[in-house]
Amino acid sequence: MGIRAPDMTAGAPRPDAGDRYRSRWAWDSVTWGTHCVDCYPGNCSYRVFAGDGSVRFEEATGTFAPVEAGVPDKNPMGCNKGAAWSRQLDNPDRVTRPLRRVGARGSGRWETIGWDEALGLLAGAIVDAIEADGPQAVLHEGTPEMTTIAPTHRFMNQLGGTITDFNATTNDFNVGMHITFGKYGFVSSIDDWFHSDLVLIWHLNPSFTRIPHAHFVFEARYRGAEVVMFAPDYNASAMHCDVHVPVQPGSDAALALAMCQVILSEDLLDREFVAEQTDLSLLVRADTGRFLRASDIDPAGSEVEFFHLVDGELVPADRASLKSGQVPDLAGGLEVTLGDGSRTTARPVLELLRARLDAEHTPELASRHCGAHADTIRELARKVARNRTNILFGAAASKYYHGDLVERSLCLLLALTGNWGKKGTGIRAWSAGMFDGPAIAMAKFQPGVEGAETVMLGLEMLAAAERANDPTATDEIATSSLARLATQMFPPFFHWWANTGYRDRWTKTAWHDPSMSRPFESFVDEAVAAGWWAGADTAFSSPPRVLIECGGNMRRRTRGGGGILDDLWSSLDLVVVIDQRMSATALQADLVLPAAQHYEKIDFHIPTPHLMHLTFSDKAQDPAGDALTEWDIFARLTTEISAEAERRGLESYTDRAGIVHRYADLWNTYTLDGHFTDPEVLADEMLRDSAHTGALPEGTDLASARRNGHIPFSGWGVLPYAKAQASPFPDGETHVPLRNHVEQGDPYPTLTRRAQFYIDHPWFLEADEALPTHKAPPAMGGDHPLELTSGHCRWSVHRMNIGNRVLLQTHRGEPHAAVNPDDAHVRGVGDHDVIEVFNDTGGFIVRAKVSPSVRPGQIIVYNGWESWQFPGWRGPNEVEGGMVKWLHLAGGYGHLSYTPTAWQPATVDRATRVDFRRMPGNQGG
Amino acid sequence: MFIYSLSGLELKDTGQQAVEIEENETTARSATYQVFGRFFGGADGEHYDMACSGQWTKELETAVELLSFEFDPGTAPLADGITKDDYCSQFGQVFEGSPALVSAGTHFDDPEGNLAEVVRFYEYFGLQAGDDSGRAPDHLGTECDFMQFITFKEAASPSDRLAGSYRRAQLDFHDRQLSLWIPSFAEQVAAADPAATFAWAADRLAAFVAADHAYIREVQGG
Repeated sequence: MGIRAPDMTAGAPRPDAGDRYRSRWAWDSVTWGTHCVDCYPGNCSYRVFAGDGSVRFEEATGTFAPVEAGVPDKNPMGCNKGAAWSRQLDNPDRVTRPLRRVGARGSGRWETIGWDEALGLLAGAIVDAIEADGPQAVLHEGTPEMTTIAPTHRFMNQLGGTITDFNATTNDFNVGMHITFGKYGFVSSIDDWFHSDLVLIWHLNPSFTRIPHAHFVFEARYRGAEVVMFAPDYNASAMHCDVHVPVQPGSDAALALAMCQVILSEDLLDREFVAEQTDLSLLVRADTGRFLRASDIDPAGSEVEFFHLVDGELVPADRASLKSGQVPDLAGGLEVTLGDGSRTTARPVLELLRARLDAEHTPELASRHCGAHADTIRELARKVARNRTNILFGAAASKYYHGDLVERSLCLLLALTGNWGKKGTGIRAWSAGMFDGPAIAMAKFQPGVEGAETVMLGLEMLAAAERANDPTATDEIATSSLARLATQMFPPFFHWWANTGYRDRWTKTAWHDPSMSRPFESFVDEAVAAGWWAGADTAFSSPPRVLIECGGNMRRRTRGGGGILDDLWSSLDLVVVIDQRMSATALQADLVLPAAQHYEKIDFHIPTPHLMHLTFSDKAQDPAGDALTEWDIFARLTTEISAEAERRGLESYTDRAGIVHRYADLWNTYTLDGHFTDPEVLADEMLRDSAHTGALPEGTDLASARRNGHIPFSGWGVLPYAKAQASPFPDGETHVPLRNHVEQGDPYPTLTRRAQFYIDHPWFLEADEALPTHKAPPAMGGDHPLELTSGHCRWSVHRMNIGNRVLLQTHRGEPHAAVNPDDAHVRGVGDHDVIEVFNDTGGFIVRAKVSPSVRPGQIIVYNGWESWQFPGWRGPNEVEGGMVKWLHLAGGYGHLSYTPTAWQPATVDRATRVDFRRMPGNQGG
Repeated sequence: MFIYSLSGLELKDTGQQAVEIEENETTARSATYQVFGRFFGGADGEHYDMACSGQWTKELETAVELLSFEFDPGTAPLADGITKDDYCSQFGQVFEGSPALVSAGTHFDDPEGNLAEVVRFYEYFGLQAGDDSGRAPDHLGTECDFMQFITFKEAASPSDRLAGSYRRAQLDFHDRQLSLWIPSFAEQVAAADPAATFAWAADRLAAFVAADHAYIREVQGG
């Protein structure tokens, strides 16, 4: 590095305040660091400076090589949170000793205990739970926290415990994209944003949440790109855009569909792209509204063979390739004789779409819903049709009740204009992958390259079996099928239904969309009877007994508030939280176990095609106090469980899958017979395994990670997330996903093998959602005039930095609700007054931030605040709706069957109906 | 038929079975490292007898026969002008004295870090430093044994991908170990003006490492 610590003692006879200040910045060691929470897409690379064994400060690096000539590089990468990360090492909310509750849960009374006692208590509760109800009674709520996934999942899987699918809780991922593409995790690299001619920012506020990456969008303007922001509020990013289109919360589908209507009515359609890539050419029966299938014509025909018209003739759509040479008609119709002798008419989906858009989604009609002027909609539609358009999309849409419709509509806009699979186009989402090492290492039965090879051969054999089943399946399709089979997570819907207050919430018909034509329970019953959720629906026959929260914070993020979890909490014999910080969940726990902070252990940032490099974080100081790494905590716990079982004379137990676990073997299986006890060996193994799969360059190991800090990926690797990119691995250029579909004609992993905009599942037909449409957010929360929205704030990655003393000084330093001045005025509220935000569910008390940037009728409380930052420990999740959309219980329909993190019911909060009132005697100023 | 033999390393208990395979250009590389590994592993009576009888030359000539690149094994001068005790003593002085030239750590700024790196190489490929060999994991003989092993494993691999991984490991081990310090090692041995057999072995090892490195780099495409 050539960095040398300054000599602070030279010429200084005795320390004074200035010396003490300067010595604060002296260092004697430098390591690479990053922040392995789900700071997404993150992957900033820092240098961490330590002196006398303690981290002093960190600095963002600028060491990323340019990728493509003419495209800006990624340097430097960092933000305010990263630059103050070290301040959290000794922040007041840090936990450094094991704590045991001495008062009632939530009383805030604790005593410090030793690790042996703490783990002994936990081991005893786990053995009790296993012997009473089986290992599935030990529950971990899955969470995409990079640093905790490997140890927690490893432990839970060796134990036979229950891990819930993390997206059911976070709902960050894009269900509408899954409906459309059969996958959601495909993204351009961030530098490809620079290639766009038109950037539509939707449900994203990059100046807050993509601080290291936003420059690519704004730099694109230097080469002529136009940037449009769609948002209800005039947010921090809007000022950097050319156009801000203020829209009603949750009305994006109306706006996007109106743009589609303009594109069709003005014949701006990319016909070739639509005919080749989408299902808009497939024929739909007039009598049933379902696709015409081979089985309709011949009872022995396939259920998944669909048809289109080619020169007026009925032709089966090729499932194996989108480039079969067929040029289907996008208009017209055909009289078809069915297998039972009856006749019906069949027309392409595009005809149905055109009719629907003309009838219900003209710009004028849309304007009533979204508030944008019809002329604005027309102008934007023409621009999309003429330009390489990229939708810079955030994770907020899926948190709307009808977020799926929003996403389907946006995808339709791109489809009609041929805007994916090419540079500067597409739509972004959450995406991970490429760093295969952790998954490979955790699946091994023997260490080393031979063990990795065995795992890979196993994967290949399973994929080959899938392809033998369906010769039209591509490698991507076969691998995505494996993900469904191999998952070790459970969709938690049925757990919530049985063990929490959500059942009462979800059966409030008035809080659902009016198009839900039957009681919610009837859909649950039908889904269970159909076997769509087989396994998951019976996984929670008895309530869990032990909850292990590691990496997550369910008492903060569970939509619907603490009351939703009261029944669950009362049934739990033991709640244990493993965390660096005292969280909302920790406050309600029985045991709190201190975990090492990111600078106190070796780890990696969550890998993503957004960045195309793996970011390494080294141990820069020993864990504070008695803190241990999560890996060590679980390793020690396995030993305690074995000892406890031995004391009780217990030998083995059987999990729900029929697998027999021997208590005495837990440590051996967790550590792979002791191989994974040294964190350096574990990290080295993961890196070398990734080099073996080709995801990382040859020769990558811990030593090279230590030298370089970040390592460019060299291939997609072998796991499904990365294969969803469906593109050649980029060499000296930006990454654009979906090229294999567009350039080679690889089919999509959907039921129809095309980007699918028509869903003829009976429930979708019943709900009139076969085609994308607009539906306003339902009245979750009751009949109240305002809509609560949220988003990530500028000061914290989720709740990770929300108590950081330095960051608290960069804003008001306490939670606030942003409200429009008119809404404040009519309620007699001034800036900084204390208000209560309330609805039928409950309320919380917070300061008002009166801001003209907020749309009238909207109220914004940013994500991340801990409950203990609010009076009574009651935060905004107390009023969130927490509903799930009934259609997401559908199954038995190709890609609409349980797919880990992609297809399942997930709770929503956006546009919850609320009101607020001034609290007496609490004036701001 | 060729089978590997390790003295400074042993297989971890990973269920790997020793196998024999037909000789070919890859086993020739493995066999060559085997010869050098034995030579630099330590001197004893047998070592001396081989030096006196010209057996080292013959073994090296046999080993390199099937190599697919040019390499001249040369001729080891006979050690008939020196007693066994002097031979073994000089071996110790030249190679294992202070500094111990056969120790990679002697040639690196960060010997401890280098040692840890070498051990991780071994572990990932299913090996561990032998308990009874009396030599460190970064000993030249052990590093030659490692190259012998992973070239053999390349030849015996059931899949192209696994063979490729072993081949990449060879290149990596060259880049980060042998090719970094063997030239310095050979220079220092030559400067010590040792018995001709020792000078020959160090010189030929350096030449072979350079040729093998160039070969594997070319095979790997760059």
